[in-house]
Amino acid sequence: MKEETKQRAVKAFLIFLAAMFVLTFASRAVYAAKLPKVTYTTLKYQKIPHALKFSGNVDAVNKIPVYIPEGLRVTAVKADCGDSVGRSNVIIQLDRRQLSDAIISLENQIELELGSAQTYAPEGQVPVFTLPDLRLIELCVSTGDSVSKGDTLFRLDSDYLSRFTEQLRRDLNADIVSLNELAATGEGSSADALKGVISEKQQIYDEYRRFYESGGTVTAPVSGTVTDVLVSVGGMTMDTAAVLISSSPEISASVEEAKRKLAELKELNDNEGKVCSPEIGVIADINLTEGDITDNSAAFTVSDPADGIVFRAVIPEGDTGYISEGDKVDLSFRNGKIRLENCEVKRIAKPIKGDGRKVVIELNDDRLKAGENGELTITAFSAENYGCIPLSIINEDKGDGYIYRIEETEGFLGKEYVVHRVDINIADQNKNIAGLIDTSLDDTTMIVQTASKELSEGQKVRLS
Amino acid sequence: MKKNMRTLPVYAVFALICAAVIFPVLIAVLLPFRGNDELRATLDPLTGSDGSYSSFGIVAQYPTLDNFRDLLIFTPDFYKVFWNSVLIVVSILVFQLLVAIPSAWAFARFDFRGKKLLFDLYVIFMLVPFQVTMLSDHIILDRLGLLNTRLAVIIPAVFSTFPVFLIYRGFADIPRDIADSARIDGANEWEVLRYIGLPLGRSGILSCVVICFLDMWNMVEQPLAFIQDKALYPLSIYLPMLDMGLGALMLAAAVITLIPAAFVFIIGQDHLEQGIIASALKE
Repeated sequence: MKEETKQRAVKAFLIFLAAMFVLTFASRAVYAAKLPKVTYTTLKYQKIPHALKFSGNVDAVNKIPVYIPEGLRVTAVKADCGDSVGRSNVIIQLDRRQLSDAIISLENQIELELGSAQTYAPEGQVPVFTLPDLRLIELCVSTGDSVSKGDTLFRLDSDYLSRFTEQLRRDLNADIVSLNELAATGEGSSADALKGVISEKQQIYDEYRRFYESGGTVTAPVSGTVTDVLVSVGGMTMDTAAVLISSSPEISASVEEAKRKLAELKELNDNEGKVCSPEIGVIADINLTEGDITDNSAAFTVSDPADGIVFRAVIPEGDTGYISEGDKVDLSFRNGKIRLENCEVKRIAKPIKGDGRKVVIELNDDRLKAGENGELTITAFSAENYGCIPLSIINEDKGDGYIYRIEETEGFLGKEYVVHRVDINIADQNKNIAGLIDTSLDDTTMIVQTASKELSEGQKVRLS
Repeated sequence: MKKNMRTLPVYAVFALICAAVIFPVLIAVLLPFRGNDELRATLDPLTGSDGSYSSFGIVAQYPTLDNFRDLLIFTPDFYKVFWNSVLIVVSILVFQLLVAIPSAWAFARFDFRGKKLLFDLYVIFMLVPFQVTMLSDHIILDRLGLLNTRLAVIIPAVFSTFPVFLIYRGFADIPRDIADSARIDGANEWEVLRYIGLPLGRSGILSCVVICFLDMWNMVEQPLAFIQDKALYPLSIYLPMLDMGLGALMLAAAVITLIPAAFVFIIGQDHLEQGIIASALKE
């Protein structure tokens, strides 16, 4: 072969090697640019913290609820939650006309009820009896009347009483004549029987005669209230009680309630329908607005900050397991401008209304006022330790979560990294991390955290 | 005319043999210039089980350099193994010459006790195939802590007896008078080798370089036996590792792999022939 050809071949070979050398770098640069750059993380075994947030209010320890009798219309509400109020400051104005009507109505109702025997309890009643078979001509009392000892209860017909007594006397005299005749004829046994009858009749006659001589009136044996009248004008007396009197009558609860309500209404009426704050303090809450009809719940509550303030929040039933008395919690107020950390839960109780638990936390911060809204943050941990990964690295495919793990392999270029998809099951999670179960991953597995490009199964990547 | 008629069948037979030899190379060179669809028609039947035969057209329907672009631009693996091959082969050749030239000079120029026996042993070792010494090599390399390194391939090859044999023939042809005259002029043995032996035995050395280059460039068993780390693999075992899915890439890589060997062959062709002829005639 010619030397010139050889030299050309040598030159060409050197050029080939030079080209391969340059292309080596070019190819590596292109390859590196094509590979997705990824960062990775590993499983961290820990309990998952849950930051639970609940809204609540600052309240005074001492709260005074103010009640207004039911059924009254509110014409004006002159304070709002959080307002500082002084004693006798008007909070609510009631409709005065309706208030007057309610008073009249209630008075009538009480009067009616007091006239009913059912209003009184049967215990302690004194029955008033009179002689039977007499006609009543005047009833001086009615149920509910108060009577003093000796007061006339009712009068009987004196003419009728007179005739009835005269009749008794004549019967008695006739029997005496008969007795004398029997004695004269010597019928001793019949005379003895008649003597007994005459003695009995004499006794009855004496009672009626004395009653007649006393004027035919029946008086109260004790002072008290007439709790029942069992006779009527024109009617005949019987052996049973005519009137019942109770020296200390027990009125039924409804009448008592009505009386109490009446007293309250009258007090309100005297105050021109104005409902005032009972103490100096802050309005904690108002449950009425203009036009509302009052009900049996508190119309408003006045807090007294002088006795200290507390934070109250109601935690839903499902979250009550995350908090217990003595736990330390964080509070924030005014959109986070005031933050109180490690506040101790003083008390947990079931609220009067609704579900869940009422949490009370004592506050010692002069900046806070009763009535302010705040947020309670509880940091609770899961019961078990889980292998945790950031929630942001979990991909989703048709509702199933998956991640990419990075496998280190020996390739032609040395250490190479290949990603493989791993389906995961989330046992527990919060806003930042997820705890996995039944996973083949361990704390040495590299898990893709971020990738510069979308990844796919088996793709080579490079670590950034 | 009659003579031409008699030689014509002979030419025809040789032409057929040449065609049979060239055809696989031709396929290897032409296929990478086809697109993926066209290649699939050729390669898929090779892996299919439907009994169909691979078809091949000499001229590509849509000639393309895409496969070479993919290989040379988007496959950095290829360069890694290419330079691995270059490093291994060059290292072997350099150190082989450093070992083989003095050995061959000693066999060619010095008379010492047991020389013939030793040379015969060299020849015998040259004839021993790699598979026979593979296990013992493996044990020794393991004890030396050289397994899974490039040295595991380089060191056994450096002490190969074949280069000694090839170079020995070149040195043996040098007339003794020339070397003696140099000694008379005051040259020591290293100077005789440097100024007389190397220039005059150049053809043997170069033929050794060419033959050994081609041998080492294509060696498969040694790296396969002693290297596990892919990053250390030479080109010769990179190609078989590409699966049929990367057939286009494999064909392009085969062509590129052929280029250095072709250059070395072209450059050293004369010396290669001389070396082979010398070895054949003198022995």
